Amino acid sequence: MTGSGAMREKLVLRNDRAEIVRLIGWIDGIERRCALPARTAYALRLCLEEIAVNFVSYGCDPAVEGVMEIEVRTDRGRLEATFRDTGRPFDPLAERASQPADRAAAPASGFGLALVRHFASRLSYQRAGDHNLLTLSFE
Amino acid sequence: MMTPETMTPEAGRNAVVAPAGRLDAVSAQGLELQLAEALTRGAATLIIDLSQLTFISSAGLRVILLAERRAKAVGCRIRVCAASPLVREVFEVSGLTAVIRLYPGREEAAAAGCDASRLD
Repeated sequence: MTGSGAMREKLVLRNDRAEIVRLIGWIDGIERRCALPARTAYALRLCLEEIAVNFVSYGCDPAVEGVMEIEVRTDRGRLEATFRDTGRPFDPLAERASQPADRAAAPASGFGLALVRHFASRLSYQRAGDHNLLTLSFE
Repeated sequence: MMTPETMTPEAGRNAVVAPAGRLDAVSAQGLELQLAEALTRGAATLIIDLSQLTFISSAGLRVILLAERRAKAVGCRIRVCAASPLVREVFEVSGLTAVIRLYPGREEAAAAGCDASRLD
């Protein structure tokens, strides 16, 4: 996956939309340091943004401060991203993704989940105590 | 970060908006403003040329879909063209290609805008 061996990068976000600017900068740094294939880099950036935006926008009661810890790591050719957050229970595997036939009249949102399911090669979710724990793998 | 879009009136009839770089949750608002401004100028067809776009997320899709709906309301046609394979894949996976046709290039998009039999 990368030419420089194992990598482990961490970021902590609060449930504030302004945090997305910091997320984008963090992803830029990962791309600079890791020689990811073009499609893998695209898939990673897309999934990180979609999951994080969903959390800062809808993951918590706005009156409550929530935290999402993101870890991206490579090891033995495998790239994984783990999201651990304090938001309300949310299992992306159980949510219904919007269908193409719905699009003409549907709200102009809700694309992110379908994109994550498509661009990540594997997803796993568990509710661990009062945290959501989501892991995505990329080919 | 997305670089500034270009917006060029073509023959007084078509307008072109060409976002460049990445269209993500941070940069999408800039394109939304550009498209809203373009729609106020009364062009019959607004071409969104994606040839310089390297990345699009759901935030970018949302802006383009909203522009398509606003365009219909003011009698303007939206034509989207020149998407890279990965950007096209994002459109397809999201289901947007059921609503917004992707044209190979600016010429095809402009021609479709002039041919009523090919309108969506």
